[in-house]
Amino acid sequence: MNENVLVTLRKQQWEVEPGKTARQIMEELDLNPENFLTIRNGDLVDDSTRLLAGDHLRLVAVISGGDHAA
Amino acid sequence: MPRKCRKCGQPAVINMRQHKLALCKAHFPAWIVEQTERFIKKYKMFTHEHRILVAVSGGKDSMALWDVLLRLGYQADGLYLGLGIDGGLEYSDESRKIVKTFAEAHPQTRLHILDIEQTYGEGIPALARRTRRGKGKPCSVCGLVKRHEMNRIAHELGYNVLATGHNLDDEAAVLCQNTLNWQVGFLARQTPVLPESAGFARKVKPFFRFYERETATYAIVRGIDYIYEECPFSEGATTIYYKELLNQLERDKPGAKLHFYLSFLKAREKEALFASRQQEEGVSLHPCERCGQPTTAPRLCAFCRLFPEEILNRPQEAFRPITLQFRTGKASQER
Repeated sequence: MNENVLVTLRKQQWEVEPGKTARQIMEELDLNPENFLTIRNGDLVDDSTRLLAGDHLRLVAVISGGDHAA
Repeated sequence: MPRKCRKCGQPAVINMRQHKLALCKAHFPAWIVEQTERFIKKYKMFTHEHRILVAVSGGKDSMALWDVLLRLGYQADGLYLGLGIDGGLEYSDESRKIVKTFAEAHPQTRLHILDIEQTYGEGIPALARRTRRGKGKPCSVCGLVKRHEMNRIAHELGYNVLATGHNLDDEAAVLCQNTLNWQVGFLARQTPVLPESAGFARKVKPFFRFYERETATYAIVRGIDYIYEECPFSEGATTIYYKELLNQLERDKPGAKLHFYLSFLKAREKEALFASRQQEEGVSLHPCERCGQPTTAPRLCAFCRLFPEEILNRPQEAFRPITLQFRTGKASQER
Protein backbone atom coordinates (compact mmCIF):
# COMPACT_ATOMS: atom_id res chain seq x y z
CA MET A 1 0.00 0.00 0.00
CA ASN A 2 1.19 3.50 -0.85
CA GLU A 3 2.41 5.36 2.25
CA ASN A 4 1.53 8.67 0.67
CA VAL A 5 -1.57 10.37 -0.69
CA LEU A 6 -1.93 10.38 -4.46
CA VAL A 7 -3.28 13.68 -5.77
CA THR A 8 -4.49 13.99 -9.37
CA LEU A 9 -5.69 16.92 -11.42
CA ARG A 10 -6.49 16.04 -15.04
CA LYS A 11 -3.22 14.55 -16.34
CA GLN A 12 -1.03 15.87 -13.52
CA GLN A 13 -0.29 13.91 -10.39
CA TRP A 14 1.59 14.39 -7.14
CA GLU A 15 2.36 12.35 -4.04
CA VAL A 16 2.05 14.14 -0.71
CA GLU A 17 2.45 13.15 2.92
CA PRO A 18 -0.70 11.91 4.71
CA GLY A 19 -2.31 13.72 7.63
CA LYS A 20 -3.12 17.00 5.91
CA THR A 21 -6.52 18.35 4.92
CA ALA A 22 -7.51 18.64 1.26
CA ARG A 23 -7.36 22.43 1.59
CA GLN A 24 -3.83 22.32 3.05
CA ILE A 25 -2.72 20.03 0.21
CA MET A 26 -4.09 22.40 -2.44
CA GLU A 27 -2.39 25.37 -0.79
CA GLU A 28 0.93 23.49 -0.66
CA LEU A 29 0.59 22.75 -4.37
CA ASP A 30 -0.04 26.47 -4.95
CA LEU A 31 -3.60 25.80 -6.12
CA ASN A 32 -6.45 28.07 -5.06
CA PRO A 33 -9.01 25.89 -3.19
CA GLU A 34 -11.79 28.12 -4.54
CA ASN A 35 -11.13 26.70 -8.02
CA PHE A 36 -11.54 22.99 -7.17
CA LEU A 37 -13.81 20.34 -5.70
CA THR A 38 -12.20 17.49 -3.82
CA ILE A 39 -13.01 13.82 -4.38
CA ARG A 40 -11.52 11.28 -1.97
CA ASN A 41 -11.49 7.67 -3.16
CA GLY A 42 -14.46 8.40 -5.43
CA ASP A 43 -16.55 10.37 -2.91
CA LEU A 44 -17.04 14.12 -2.92
CA VAL A 45 -15.74 15.55 0.37
CA ASP A 46 -15.44 18.96 1.97
CA ASP A 47 -11.92 20.39 1.86
CA SER A 48 -11.54 20.14 5.64
CA THR A 49 -11.29 16.35 5.21
CA ARG A 50 -7.95 14.89 6.34
CA LEU A 51 -6.29 12.51 3.88
CA LEU A 52 -4.75 9.21 5.04
CA ALA A 53 -1.98 7.02 3.63
CA GLY A 54 -3.15 5.28 0.45
CA ASP A 55 -5.96 7.77 -0.21
CA HIS A 56 -6.51 9.12 -3.71
CA LEU A 57 -7.50 12.78 -3.83
CA ARG A 58 -8.90 13.85 -7.20
CA LEU A 59 -9.20 17.58 -7.79
CA VAL A 60 -12.01 18.66 -10.11
CA ALA A 61 -11.65 22.11 -11.66
CA VAL A 62 -14.89 24.08 -11.48
CA ILE A 63 -14.07 27.09 -13.66
CA SER A 64 -15.54 27.13 -17.13
CA GLY A 65 -14.74 29.79 -19.66
CA GLY A 66 -15.21 31.25 -23.10
CA ASP A 67 -18.43 33.00 -23.95
CA HIS A 68 -20.56 30.96 -21.61
CA ALA A 69 -23.92 31.46 -23.21
CA ALA A 70 -25.32 28.10 -22.20
CA MET B 1 -12.61 16.31 12.16
CA PRO B 2 -14.19 17.17 8.81
CA ARG B 3 -16.96 19.74 8.78
CA LYS B 4 -20.46 18.56 9.58
CA CYS B 5 -23.74 19.38 7.85
CA ARG B 6 -25.49 22.18 9.72
CA LYS B 7 -28.85 20.41 9.34
CA CYS B 8 -28.08 16.80 10.30
CA GLY B 9 -24.48 16.49 11.50
CA GLN B 10 -23.42 14.10 8.72
CA PRO B 11 -20.11 14.84 6.92
CA ALA B 12 -20.46 17.94 4.71
CA VAL B 13 -19.71 17.77 0.97
CA ILE B 14 -19.45 21.54 0.64
CA ASN B 15 -18.74 24.51 2.83
CA MET B 16 -20.17 27.76 1.45
CA ARG B 17 -17.99 30.23 3.29
CA GLN B 18 -19.94 33.23 1.97
CA HIS B 19 -23.05 31.90 3.75
CA LYS B 20 -21.21 30.24 6.66
CA LEU B 21 -23.11 27.11 5.68
CA ALA B 22 -21.82 23.53 5.32
CA LEU B 23 -24.21 20.87 3.99
CA CYS B 24 -24.16 17.11 3.36
CA LYS B 25 -24.95 15.21 0.17
CA ALA B 26 -28.63 14.93 1.13
CA HIS B 27 -29.26 18.49 2.29
CA PHE B 28 -27.15 20.37 -0.27
CA PRO B 29 -29.19 19.45 -3.40
CA ALA B 30 -32.40 20.16 -1.51
CA TRP B 31 -31.00 23.60 -0.58
CA ILE B 32 -30.11 24.33 -4.23
CA VAL B 33 -33.65 23.45 -5.34
CA GLU B 34 -35.23 25.61 -2.60
CA GLN B 35 -32.95 28.56 -3.34
CA THR B 36 -33.57 28.34 -7.09
CA GLU B 37 -37.32 28.47 -6.49
CA ARG B 38 -36.80 31.44 -4.19
CA PHE B 39 -34.76 33.34 -6.81
CA ILE B 40 -37.27 32.54 -9.58
CA LYS B 41 -40.04 34.08 -7.46
CA LYS B 42 -38.04 36.96 -5.99
CA TYR B 43 -36.85 38.18 -9.39
CA LYS B 44 -40.19 37.32 -11.12
CA MET B 45 -38.50 35.12 -13.70
CA PHE B 46 -41.41 32.84 -14.66
CA THR B 47 -44.31 30.78 -13.33
CA HIS B 48 -45.57 27.23 -13.83
CA GLU B 49 -47.78 28.53 -16.66
CA HIS B 50 -44.80 29.53 -18.81
CA ARG B 51 -43.03 27.32 -21.35
CA ILE B 52 -39.30 27.46 -20.66
CA LEU B 53 -36.51 26.66 -23.08
CA VAL B 54 -33.27 25.78 -21.28
CA ALA B 55 -30.08 26.32 -23.27
CA VAL B 56 -28.13 23.12 -22.58
CA SER B 57 -24.49 22.66 -23.51
CA GLY B 58 -23.65 19.44 -21.64
CA GLY B 59 -21.75 21.51 -19.06
CA LYS B 60 -22.41 21.38 -15.32
CA ASP B 61 -24.41 24.60 -15.06
CA SER B 62 -26.95 24.02 -17.80
CA MET B 63 -27.41 20.32 -16.94
CA ALA B 64 -27.91 21.16 -13.27
CA LEU B 65 -30.38 23.92 -14.17
CA TRP B 66 -32.44 21.62 -16.39
CA ASP B 67 -32.54 19.05 -13.59
CA VAL B 68 -33.59 21.58 -10.95
CA LEU B 69 -36.35 23.10 -13.12
CA LEU B 70 -37.77 19.64 -13.86
CA ARG B 71 -37.67 18.72 -10.17
CA LEU B 72 -39.60 21.90 -9.45
CA GLY B 73 -42.23 20.82 -11.96
CA TYR B 74 -41.68 23.56 -14.57
CA GLN B 75 -42.36 22.96 -18.26
CA ALA B 76 -38.68 23.02 -19.15
CA ASP B 77 -37.44 21.70 -22.50
CA GLY B 78 -33.82 21.66 -23.66
CA LEU B 79 -32.14 23.32 -26.63
CA TYR B 80 -28.78 21.97 -27.71
CA LEU B 81 -26.74 23.74 -30.38
CA GLY B 82 -24.12 21.56 -32.10
CA LEU B 83 -21.17 23.90 -32.57
CA GLY B 84 -18.86 21.56 -34.50
CA ILE B 85 -16.01 21.82 -31.98
CA ASP B 86 -13.64 18.85 -31.90
CA GLY B 87 -10.30 20.05 -30.52
CA GLY B 88 -9.04 16.43 -30.41
CA LEU B 89 -11.61 15.66 -27.70
CA GLU B 90 -14.72 15.27 -29.87
CA TYR B 91 -16.05 17.99 -27.60
CA SER B 92 -19.34 18.65 -29.39
CA ASP B 93 -20.07 14.93 -29.97
CA GLU B 94 -19.48 14.16 -26.29
CA SER B 95 -21.63 17.01 -25.07
CA ARG B 96 -24.47 16.02 -27.41
CA LYS B 97 -24.39 12.45 -26.05
CA ILE B 98 -24.60 13.74 -22.48
CA VAL B 99 -27.57 15.96 -23.26
CA LYS B 100 -29.42 13.18 -25.12
CA THR B 101 -28.83 10.70 -22.31
CA PHE B 102 -30.30 13.17 -19.81
CA ALA B 103 -33.37 13.73 -22.02
CA GLU B 104 -33.85 9.95 -22.37
CA ALA B 105 -34.05 9.64 -18.59
CA HIS B 106 -36.66 12.43 -18.33
CA PRO B 107 -39.67 11.54 -20.50
CA GLN B 108 -41.57 14.67 -19.40
CA THR B 109 -39.16 16.89 -21.33
CA ARG B 110 -38.31 17.51 -24.97
CA LEU B 111 -34.92 18.16 -26.50
CA HIS B 112 -34.44 20.37 -29.55
CA ILE B 113 -31.16 19.96 -31.42
CA LEU B 114 -29.77 22.27 -34.08
CA ASP B 115 -26.46 21.53 -35.75
CA ILE B 116 -24.85 24.83 -36.75
CA GLU B 117 -22.59 23.30 -39.41
CA GLN B 118 -25.46 21.41 -41.11
CA THR B 119 -27.70 24.45 -40.93
CA TYR B 120 -25.32 27.21 -41.95
CA GLY B 121 -22.60 25.30 -43.79
CA GLU B 122 -19.87 26.00 -41.24
CA GLY B 123 -19.20 25.08 -37.63
CA ILE B 124 -17.85 27.63 -35.13
CA PRO B 125 -14.11 27.03 -35.76
CA ALA B 126 -14.47 27.53 -39.55
CA LEU B 127 -16.73 30.52 -39.04
CA ALA B 128 -14.25 32.14 -36.66
CA ARG B 129 -11.39 31.61 -39.13
CA ARG B 130 -13.33 33.02 -42.09
CA THR B 131 -14.78 36.07 -40.37
CA ARG B 132 -11.80 36.83 -38.10
CA ARG B 133 -14.30 38.09 -35.55
CA GLY B 134 -12.74 37.91 -32.08
CA LYS B 135 -9.14 38.16 -33.35
CA GLY B 136 -8.49 34.44 -33.68
CA LYS B 137 -10.52 33.37 -30.60
CA PRO B 138 -13.78 31.67 -31.57
CA CYS B 139 -15.48 32.61 -28.25
CA SER B 140 -16.81 35.88 -29.66
CA VAL B 141 -18.39 34.38 -32.78
CA CYS B 142 -19.59 31.39 -30.75
CA GLY B 143 -21.40 33.69 -28.32
CA LEU B 144 -22.96 35.68 -31.15
CA VAL B 145 -24.23 32.54 -32.93
CA LYS B 146 -25.56 30.97 -29.73
CA ARG B 147 -27.41 34.10 -28.60
CA HIS B 148 -29.01 34.62 -32.02
CA GLU B 149 -30.06 31.01 -32.49
CA MET B 150 -31.38 30.62 -28.94
CA ASN B 151 -33.50 33.76 -29.42
CA ARG B 152 -34.72 32.65 -32.82
CA ILE B 153 -35.62 29.10 -31.82
CA ALA B 154 -37.33 30.14 -28.57
CA HIS B 155 -39.47 32.58 -30.57
CA GLU B 156 -40.27 30.20 -33.44
CA LEU B 157 -41.18 27.31 -31.13
CA GLY B 158 -43.39 29.48 -28.93
CA TYR B 159 -41.41 29.50 -25.68
CA ASN B 160 -42.07 32.42 -23.31
CA VAL B 161 -38.78 32.17 -21.46
CA LEU B 162 -35.21 31.32 -22.38
CA ALA B 163 -33.18 30.12 -19.37
CA THR B 164 -29.41 29.87 -19.30
CA GLY B 165 -27.14 28.33 -16.67
CA HIS B 166 -25.03 31.43 -15.96
CA ASN B 167 -23.75 31.32 -12.38
CA LEU B 168 -22.42 34.03 -10.09
CA ASP B 169 -18.82 33.49 -11.22
CA ASP B 170 -19.88 34.08 -14.84
CA GLU B 171 -21.74 37.25 -13.90
CA ALA B 172 -19.04 38.60 -11.59
CA ALA B 173 -16.31 37.94 -14.19
CA VAL B 174 -18.23 39.84 -16.87
CA LEU B 175 -19.00 42.64 -14.43
CA CYS B 176 -15.33 42.89 -13.44
CA GLN B 177 -14.19 43.00 -17.04
CA ASN B 178 -16.78 45.58 -18.07
CA THR B 179 -16.08 47.74 -15.03
CA LEU B 180 -12.32 47.74 -15.52
CA ASN B 181 -12.91 48.81 -19.13
CA TRP B 182 -15.88 51.10 -18.29
CA GLN B 183 -18.07 49.43 -20.89
CA VAL B 184 -21.15 51.39 -19.88
CA GLY B 185 -23.36 49.94 -22.61
CA PHE B 186 -22.63 46.37 -21.52
CA LEU B 187 -23.00 47.27 -17.84
CA ALA B 188 -26.44 48.74 -18.52
CA ARG B 189 -27.59 45.46 -20.08
CA GLN B 190 -26.20 43.06 -17.44
CA THR B 191 -29.10 41.70 -15.46
CA PRO B 192 -30.46 38.30 -14.33
CA VAL B 193 -33.77 38.98 -16.07
CA LEU B 194 -33.97 40.57 -19.50
CA PRO B 195 -37.63 41.34 -20.27
CA GLU B 196 -39.27 40.02 -23.44
CA SER B 197 -39.23 42.47 -26.34
CA ALA B 198 -40.68 42.63 -29.83
CA GLY B 199 -41.90 39.05 -29.80
CA PHE B 200 -38.74 37.60 -28.27
CA ALA B 201 -38.62 35.47 -25.17
CA ARG B 202 -37.69 36.77 -21.75
CA LYS B 203 -34.13 35.74 -20.82
CA VAL B 204 -33.44 34.56 -17.31
CA LYS B 205 -30.51 33.22 -15.30
CA PRO B 206 -31.99 31.30 -12.33
CA PHE B 207 -28.50 30.23 -11.09
CA PHE B 208 -27.03 33.73 -11.05
CA ARG B 209 -26.56 33.72 -7.26
CA PHE B 210 -24.82 30.32 -7.05
CA TYR B 211 -21.07 29.99 -7.12
CA GLU B 212 -19.63 27.78 -9.83
CA ARG B 213 -18.40 25.28 -7.22
CA GLU B 214 -22.01 24.93 -6.03
CA THR B 215 -23.43 24.04 -9.45
CA ALA B 216 -20.58 21.54 -9.94
CA THR B 217 -21.25 20.03 -6.52
CA TYR B 218 -24.96 19.74 -7.30
CA ALA B 219 -24.24 17.92 -10.58
CA ILE B 220 -21.83 15.48 -8.90
CA VAL B 221 -24.03 14.77 -5.88
CA ARG B 222 -27.08 14.22 -8.09
CA GLY B 223 -25.10 11.91 -10.40
CA ILE B 224 -25.72 14.16 -13.40
CA ASP B 225 -23.20 13.45 -16.11
CA TYR B 226 -21.57 16.56 -17.55
CA ILE B 227 -18.62 17.33 -19.74
CA TYR B 228 -15.65 17.82 -17.39
CA GLU B 229 -13.30 18.78 -20.18
CA GLU B 230 -13.14 22.47 -20.81
CA CYS B 231 -14.00 23.71 -24.32
CA PRO B 232 -10.69 23.38 -26.23
CA PHE B 233 -10.94 27.02 -27.31
CA SER B 234 -11.39 28.39 -23.81
CA GLU B 235 -7.70 28.11 -22.90
CA GLY B 236 -6.51 31.61 -22.20
CA ALA B 237 -10.07 32.96 -22.43
CA THR B 238 -10.56 36.33 -20.79
CA THR B 239 -13.45 35.04 -18.68
CA ILE B 240 -11.22 32.43 -17.06
CA TYR B 241 -8.62 35.08 -16.26
CA TYR B 242 -11.18 37.22 -14.43
CA LYS B 243 -12.70 34.24 -12.64
CA GLU B 244 -9.30 33.24 -11.29
CA LEU B 245 -8.62 36.81 -10.26
CA LEU B 246 -11.93 37.00 -8.38
CA ASN B 247 -11.30 33.62 -6.75
CA GLN B 248 -8.01 34.95 -5.34
CA LEU B 249 -10.05 37.69 -3.71
CA GLU B 250 -12.65 35.15 -2.57
CA ARG B 251 -9.98 32.98 -0.92
CA ASP B 252 -8.93 35.89 1.27
CA LYS B 253 -12.34 37.50 1.71
CA PRO B 254 -15.19 34.95 1.59
CA GLY B 255 -18.29 36.45 0.01
CA ALA B 256 -16.38 39.09 -1.99
CA LYS B 257 -17.73 37.87 -5.36
CA LEU B 258 -21.31 37.72 -4.16
CA HIS B 259 -21.08 41.16 -2.56
CA PHE B 260 -19.52 42.64 -5.72
CA TYR B 261 -22.34 41.43 -7.95
CA LEU B 262 -25.27 41.99 -5.60
CA SER B 263 -24.07 45.54 -4.82
CA PHE B 264 -24.01 46.22 -8.54
CA LEU B 265 -27.60 44.99 -8.90
CA LYS B 266 -28.67 47.11 -5.95
CA ALA B 267 -27.03 50.21 -7.46
CA ARG B 268 -28.81 49.51 -10.76
CA GLU B 269 -32.23 49.03 -9.24
CA LYS B 270 -32.37 51.17 -6.10
CA GLU B 271 -30.17 54.04 -7.26
CA ALA B 272 -31.17 53.89 -10.95
CA LEU B 273 -27.57 53.54 -12.10
CA PHE B 274 -27.54 53.44 -15.93
CA ALA B 275 -31.25 54.38 -16.17
CA SER B 276 -30.61 57.12 -18.73
CA ARG B 277 -28.33 54.80 -20.69
CA GLN B 278 -31.06 52.15 -20.87
CA GLN B 279 -33.53 54.71 -22.22
CA GLU B 280 -31.04 55.78 -24.92
CA GLU B 281 -30.40 52.16 -25.91
CA GLY B 282 -34.10 51.36 -26.10
CA VAL B 283 -34.52 54.12 -28.65
CA SER B 284 -31.51 53.16 -30.78
CA LEU B 285 -32.52 49.47 -31.21
CA HIS B 286 -34.48 48.45 -34.30
CA PRO B 287 -35.27 45.12 -35.97
CA CYS B 288 -32.77 43.50 -38.33
CA GLU B 289 -34.09 43.69 -41.91
CA ARG B 290 -33.68 39.93 -42.45
CA CYS B 291 -34.33 38.15 -39.15
CA GLY B 292 -36.18 40.81 -37.15
CA GLN B 293 -34.02 40.49 -34.04
CA PRO B 294 -33.14 43.78 -32.30
CA THR B 295 -29.90 45.39 -33.44
CA THR B 296 -28.13 48.73 -33.28
CA ALA B 297 -26.63 48.21 -36.77
CA PRO B 298 -28.25 50.17 -39.63
CA ARG B 299 -29.64 47.22 -41.73
CA LEU B 300 -28.57 43.70 -40.87
CA CYS B 301 -27.67 42.42 -37.41
CA ALA B 302 -24.15 41.07 -36.69
CA PHE B 303 -25.36 37.45 -37.09
CA CYS B 304 -26.92 37.96 -40.52
CA ARG B 305 -23.78 39.75 -41.69
CA LEU B 306 -21.78 36.57 -40.97
CA PHE B 307 -23.35 34.55 -43.79
CA PRO B 308 -23.75 34.85 -47.56
CA GLU B 309 -27.26 35.35 -48.95
CA GLU B 310 -27.48 31.86 -50.49
CA ILE B 311 -27.26 30.38 -46.99
CA LEU B 312 -29.71 32.79 -45.35
CA ASN B 313 -32.23 32.48 -48.21
CA ARG B 314 -32.62 28.71 -47.85
CA PRO B 315 -36.18 27.44 -47.19
CA GLN B 316 -37.50 28.07 -43.69
CA GLU B 317 -37.51 24.36 -42.76
CA ALA B 318 -33.71 24.18 -43.20
CA PHE B 319 -33.38 26.25 -40.01
CA ARG B 320 -35.72 24.17 -37.84
CA PRO B 321 -34.19 22.10 -35.06
CA ILE B 322 -34.84 18.37 -34.67
CA THR B 323 -37.09 17.68 -31.68
CA LEU B 324 -36.71 14.52 -29.60
CA GLN B 325 -38.98 13.23 -26.89
CA PHE B 326 -38.28 9.94 -25.17
CA ARG B 327 -41.35 8.11 -23.95
CA THR B 328 -41.27 4.57 -22.49
CA GLY B 329 -37.76 4.07 -23.81
CA LYS B 330 -38.60 4.99 -27.43
CA ALA B 331 -37.67 8.26 -29.07
CA SER B 332 -40.13 10.21 -31.17
CA GLN B 333 -38.61 12.70 -33.55
CA GLU B 334 -40.05 15.58 -35.52
CA ARG B 335 -38.76 18.45 -37.54
